Amino acid sequence: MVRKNNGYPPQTIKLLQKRISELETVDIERKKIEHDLEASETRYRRLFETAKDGILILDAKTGMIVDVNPFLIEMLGYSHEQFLGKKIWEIGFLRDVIGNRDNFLQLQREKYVRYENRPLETASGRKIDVEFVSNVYQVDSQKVIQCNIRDITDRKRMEKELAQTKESQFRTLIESLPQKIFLKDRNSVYISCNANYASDLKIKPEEIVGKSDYDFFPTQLAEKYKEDEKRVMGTGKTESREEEYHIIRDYLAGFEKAFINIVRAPVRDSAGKIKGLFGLFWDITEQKMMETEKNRVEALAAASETKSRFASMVSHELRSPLAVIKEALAIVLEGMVGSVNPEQKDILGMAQKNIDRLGRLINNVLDFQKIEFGKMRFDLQENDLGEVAMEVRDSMAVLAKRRGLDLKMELEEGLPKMTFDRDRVIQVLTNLTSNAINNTEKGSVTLTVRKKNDVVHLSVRDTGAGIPAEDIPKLFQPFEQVVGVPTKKKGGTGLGLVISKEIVLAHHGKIWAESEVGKGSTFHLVLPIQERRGLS
Amino acid sequence: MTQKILMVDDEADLLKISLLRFKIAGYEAFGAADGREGLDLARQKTPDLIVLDVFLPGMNGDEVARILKKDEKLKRIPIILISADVETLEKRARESGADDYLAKAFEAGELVGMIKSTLAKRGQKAALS
Repeated sequence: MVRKNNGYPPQTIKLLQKRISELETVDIERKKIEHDLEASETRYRRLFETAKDGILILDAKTGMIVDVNPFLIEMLGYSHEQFLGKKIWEIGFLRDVIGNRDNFLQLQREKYVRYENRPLETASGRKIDVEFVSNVYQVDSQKVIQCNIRDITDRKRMEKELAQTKESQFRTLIESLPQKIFLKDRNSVYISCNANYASDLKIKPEEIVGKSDYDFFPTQLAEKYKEDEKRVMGTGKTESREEEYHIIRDYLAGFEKAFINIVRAPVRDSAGKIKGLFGLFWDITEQKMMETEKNRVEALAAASETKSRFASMVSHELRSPLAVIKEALAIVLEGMVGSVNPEQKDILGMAQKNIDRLGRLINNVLDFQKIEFGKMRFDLQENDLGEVAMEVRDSMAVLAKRRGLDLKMELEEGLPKMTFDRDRVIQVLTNLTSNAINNTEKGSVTLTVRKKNDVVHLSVRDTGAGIPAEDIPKLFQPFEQVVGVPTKKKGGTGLGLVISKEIVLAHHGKIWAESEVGKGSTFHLVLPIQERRGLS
Repeated sequence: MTQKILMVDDEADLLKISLLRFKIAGYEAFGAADGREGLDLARQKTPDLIVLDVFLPGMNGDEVARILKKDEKLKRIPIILISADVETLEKRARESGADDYLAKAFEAGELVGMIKSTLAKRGQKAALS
């Protein structure tokens, strides 16, 4: 509203008009702000009224409840009046929550507090888990506290169920482990153990709580365990070691020693402080025993090896002087160093014969040693078995003649070449032939060589005394000297046939004997024609 | 010309009887009881063949063989290494450059046979070259 020229100079009027206009603008803005504020308050009020969280408004200075929203009233089942005008710590059901002065003072200081570990109790006595978030606001010149209270019962329940499931799964895992497991506190007192360990202690798992090793083991052992555990909890370092253990058979019978591998690990709380010890162990007695057994076997093998080397050395040492004696006798007997009369010749001949025998015995012992220790080596070459048989016949002819026996040979023509150790096969045939000759008083010894399919069959047949049937299986066993077999009569080592058998087997062949008392014996030998790579 | 055999062995009886055997077989034979003496004799007499025992006092036979095989004048002399230690004999012979080897205790005939065949081979070689 503008009045015209009411006595004021036009400049003043203009200025006033401008001022009025300005004031009008301010008023409009103020009204707008007031309106906005009103709208905001309305919006807040609406939120407050319809919120799905409980809301409490307190006077920040006094802790007096100034407002409470309908949701909280419904949630707790108390009336509006039971809240209003009361100090928060005066309200029973809130006392435990934020209702203590200290918490309130903390809130005043820090302007924000949050809990969820303090359940509330409704008017009907039901406990509900809540999340409690409180903020301090400045409203006009006054500080207020807004507490938001959210029902988290469902979430808590789910969390708890989940945790229980996890724990029960973990428990199942622990129980199903074959190891023995226990948990102890800082003072080595049992907190828990698995069934496997409990059964070791002859108790139920739940009975372990509060007990210590002194309740189960001899004092000395319990003290040792305590020491070990003290060390682990002291250093904080997990230990894994093998140690002796005492299994309780029953309390009257006492303990049975065992070996275990035990892991002791410190258990820490969330702050990292050691609060106890976790133990896990398993029985390694069997494994230990196997190790011991293995060591024993190895020691035996080593001792046996030493024995073998000793025997081999002795045999070589024996053979050296033997060679000199033999040579000296031969030179004298040959008349190389002057003439020898028949009586001297006879006596020296006796010496020579026995030297030869001693040489054979030593060779047998050496061979037997080699067989026993798997040290016999074979020089495999392509050879003619017929030729080998003839060589044996020739070398045995003198002996046969001396004994007045007829040494015959039945050799099949056109035998194939075969792969074998020539010297060793000669050794076998010589052994069989000399046995036959020495065992036959009159008649003949016949060597036969025949091809049969893919083998060559050799046999040495004599017309001697024969061998009783029950003695035949003993022929090829060491140190079994059978009546009628020359080893007995002639004082052999009883090893000749054993060595022969080993040589034949190594060539993938077979050797056996047939005999009839009074008629004679036949020793059979079969060698495969097909070349075999590598000998057993 | 009679061929000369040198045998080196510290077993006096074996050495003596072997030398006798060599002589009966028609060789001129002389012996030494250790490696040092053996080397001296080899240089003095330039034998046609040397028989060397492995285990000798002071210096082993395979060591003697190695020295001989490095000597320009003597390296063509065939060497037979002998030993009771059959396990290592072949290896020692191969590594020392010996021409052949024989395990103790051998029959004198065996050694004489080996000497004969070795000398025969050597003779053939010499005749060829």
